[in-house]
Amino acid sequence: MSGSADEPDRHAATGTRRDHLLLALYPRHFRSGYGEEMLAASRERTDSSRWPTATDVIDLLLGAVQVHLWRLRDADHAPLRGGSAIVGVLAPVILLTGLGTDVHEVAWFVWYSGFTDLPWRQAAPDAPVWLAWAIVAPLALLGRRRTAAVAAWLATAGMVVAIAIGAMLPTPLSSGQLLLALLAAVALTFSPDAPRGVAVVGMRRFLPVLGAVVLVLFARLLGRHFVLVDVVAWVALGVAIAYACRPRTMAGRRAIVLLSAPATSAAGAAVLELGVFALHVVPFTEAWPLVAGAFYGAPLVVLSTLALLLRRLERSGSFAAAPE
Amino acid sequence: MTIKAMQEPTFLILTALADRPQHGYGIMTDVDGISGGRIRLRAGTLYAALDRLCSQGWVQADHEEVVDGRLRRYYRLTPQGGDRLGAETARLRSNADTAARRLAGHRRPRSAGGTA
Repeated sequence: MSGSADEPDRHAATGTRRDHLLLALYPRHFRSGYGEEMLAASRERTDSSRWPTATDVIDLLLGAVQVHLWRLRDADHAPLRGGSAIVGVLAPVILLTGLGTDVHEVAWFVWYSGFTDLPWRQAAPDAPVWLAWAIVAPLALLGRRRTAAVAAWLATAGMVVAIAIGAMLPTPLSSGQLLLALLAAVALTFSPDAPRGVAVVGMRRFLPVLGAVVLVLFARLLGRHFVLVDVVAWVALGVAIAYACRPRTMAGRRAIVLLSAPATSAAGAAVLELGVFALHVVPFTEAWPLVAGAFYGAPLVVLSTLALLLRRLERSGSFAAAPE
Repeated sequence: MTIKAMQEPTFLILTALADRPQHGYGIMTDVDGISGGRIRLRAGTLYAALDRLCSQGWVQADHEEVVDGRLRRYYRLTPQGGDRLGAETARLRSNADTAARRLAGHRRPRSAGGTA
């Protein structure tokens, strides 16, 4: 008989656990404000003995999705908008560093053989891609958002084509460059503050970035025998970007997360490439899908992780924001 | 300023509340009746909509009752919600009137004319 006495308690416990599961996907404030009331209304709607039916469960799941989507749309996106505006003006300029290899090759040929003998297609097959970004950069600086956005998407598409036809090698560096190109195109397209990008950054903070890009190109011009100059130039670029983003502001921190994602994903892809090839884990021909997945999937993982981490740190109060 | 069209379930929820304050199950039943059984709201969809409508200021909680040991919260339409419902009604009526006029002209027999 103790079994039957325990039945109502077990049933109640199962019901409570089930209710918790059904509400688990809703935000905390919604659960506390509407949760029990919603489940009671759902039970009234359906015959209580059969509740919850599959339709009830699907409805409750869809309700959770709707609540989250609405709150995402309603949230204060000002820091992300400001961060996107900064990315829209800095990313095209940073991408000009891609001209480095072509500058070196062209300079070498001109030095030894003369300009007229330069085999452009062999020496600088990806030059059109970087020259396209040389058009996007001033358009973004002048606040011509729509024209810059169109040009950015064309330049990004050109980058994909260049990689596909072998004009640009699919290296860890190119994976980071492709992500940066996508970020620039998206920022110029969707950020309403993009026309004010230079005003948001400030010319005093923008000029060091431009100077550091020139330094990187100069280092590439010198070639691989001047590794120290190359390292100093890239470090200077990183510092200039951080300075330009104003890391004490929320918009600036979001810009730093966005702009660091290509660098960290390129580093991760480089480590993976070393692991796959140097350790002979898998033969090259079989490793290609893994490497391609790492090159173009890793950036999305890195970006999502960094964004989530930043949000958690800010919510915990670890980063107090200065006035924008 | 152009007003964005309202989704039909939202329109029907506001219409249900325009009559009198109602609780969640009451709104679901009323929407059933207004739509002739075409729109069958369920609790997840309804309360997601109520959360949104409350944050927009078109709906607010009115009072609470305890029925069979369960808390029932009643919701009512706010003046802002009433204005928005009125604007949407006017928009739909304008579209419906235009469609009705054009249909009337479409169905009128055309005058006979013939080629030789």
